Amino acid sequence: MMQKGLSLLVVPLLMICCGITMPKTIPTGTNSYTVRVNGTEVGKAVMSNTLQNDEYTYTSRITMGNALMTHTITHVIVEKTDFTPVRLETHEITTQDGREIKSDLVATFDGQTVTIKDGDHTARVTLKEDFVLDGNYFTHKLIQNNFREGFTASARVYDPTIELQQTIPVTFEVIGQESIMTGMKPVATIHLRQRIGRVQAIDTYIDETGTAVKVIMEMMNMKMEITRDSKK
Amino acid sequence: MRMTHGIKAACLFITVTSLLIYAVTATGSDTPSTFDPALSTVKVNQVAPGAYTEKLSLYLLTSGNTSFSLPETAFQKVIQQKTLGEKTGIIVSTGRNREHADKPSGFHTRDTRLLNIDHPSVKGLSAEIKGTDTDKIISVIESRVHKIINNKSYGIPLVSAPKIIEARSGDCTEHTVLSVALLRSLDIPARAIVGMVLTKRFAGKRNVFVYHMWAEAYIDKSWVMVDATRPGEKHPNRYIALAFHSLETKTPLSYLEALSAIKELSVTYVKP
Repeated sequence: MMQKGLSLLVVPLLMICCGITMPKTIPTGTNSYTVRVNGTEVGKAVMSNTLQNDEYTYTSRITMGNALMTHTITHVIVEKTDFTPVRLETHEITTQDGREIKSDLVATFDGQTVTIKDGDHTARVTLKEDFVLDGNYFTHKLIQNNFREGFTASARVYDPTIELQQTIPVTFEVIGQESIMTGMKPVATIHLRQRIGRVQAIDTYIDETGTAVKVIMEMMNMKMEITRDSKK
Repeated sequence: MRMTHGIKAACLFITVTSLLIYAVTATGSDTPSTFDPALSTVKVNQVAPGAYTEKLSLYLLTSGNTSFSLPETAFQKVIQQKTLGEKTGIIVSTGRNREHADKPSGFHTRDTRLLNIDHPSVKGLSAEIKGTDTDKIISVIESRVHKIINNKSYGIPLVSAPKIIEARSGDCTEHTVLSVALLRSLDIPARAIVGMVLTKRFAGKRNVFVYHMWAEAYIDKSWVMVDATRPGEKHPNRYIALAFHSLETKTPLSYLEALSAIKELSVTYVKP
């Protein structure tokens, strides 16, 4: 009797904590994040996604550093609404003692052919497999499957910051609904697990709008966390 | 407007990872980079004074990941590897590994976007070194690279060899990229390695392994160690290689995979 009473109490509590409406559309807009390593803040990030003229443009900018040195890395991914790759850009600036070290890479796509402009160097690569960019494709597949627990979306992804001449296998698995703490507040999330090749899993928690609330990965004795800043 | 975006934070995460890896491999001084020095070090259990002078050392490394493995090189031999539950333990011998017969391939001579060995500044530098006797070439490259990078600056993400020559700033990653670029431009097979080096003192800590990057060159039918960050300081037994780095991109997949298997790493010195 006692046991039954307890479960009657726990079930509604779980529903309050973890009940979440599944995202229905690919989200657009801008969010700010704080990057922490082993609990210490090491940088800031801004991510945005826009939809204009039948193209998604996803931009992420991360800044890490201190009074002596700053690194800013910007990634831009442009893809059609059917996720055909259009353009991928990576811009890096390291500033130190008033001096800048810059690096720019722009890849443009024409079917399986990629033209990569890296500073004053241009290369052309023909990729064997069909591929997508690491933009909105996975969100689309997960939405299509209503973020069903256990569902896995897989695709070959082209990312020249990891591999220049070939695509890499990426999967997203829906682990399930979880309530996580951000600051002092519990947030109902969907827990996703991403795998890039055999790289240790990256855990992402998204809210009902599809926004990443928190991303966690452990590597080289470091626990790295990217947490969404609360809106002001 | 819905103030959201997708699940792509993982891409950002790879960026953070790449920055952190290069930040924590910023060895070469007692003052590391932007980040907490503790991130760059791994404590060694039971280290003995002999670890700094002996020719061969033995270490037990454990990681909380079943995919954890170590490469074999001319200076490192895996003696035993065991997986127990979620943990992997490896006993590794460090120092000259005479049984190692790994020969170079085209992979060790080709140009990459980070090396850019046809760039006039790299070519110009290698022309100055060309003609040096084989037995002196490594020490000449080490001291030349060490001198060129006159601003020992820590935590710079991996940049190309021409940019290193131009900026003259960097840590162990820049010393390694430039060394490999010069070696390959002289038609000497070379490769880059990410690992750790045993250090008596680093950022206020004693007897710790510090994440580090160095090179190996294939000369007179064997691989030799090239560490331009620490020229002339060669105790191969103090180096533990964790992964090769192709220098094709900043974070090649095989390199990311190897480093991501390092979790709760502990190192114990085993009496030889």
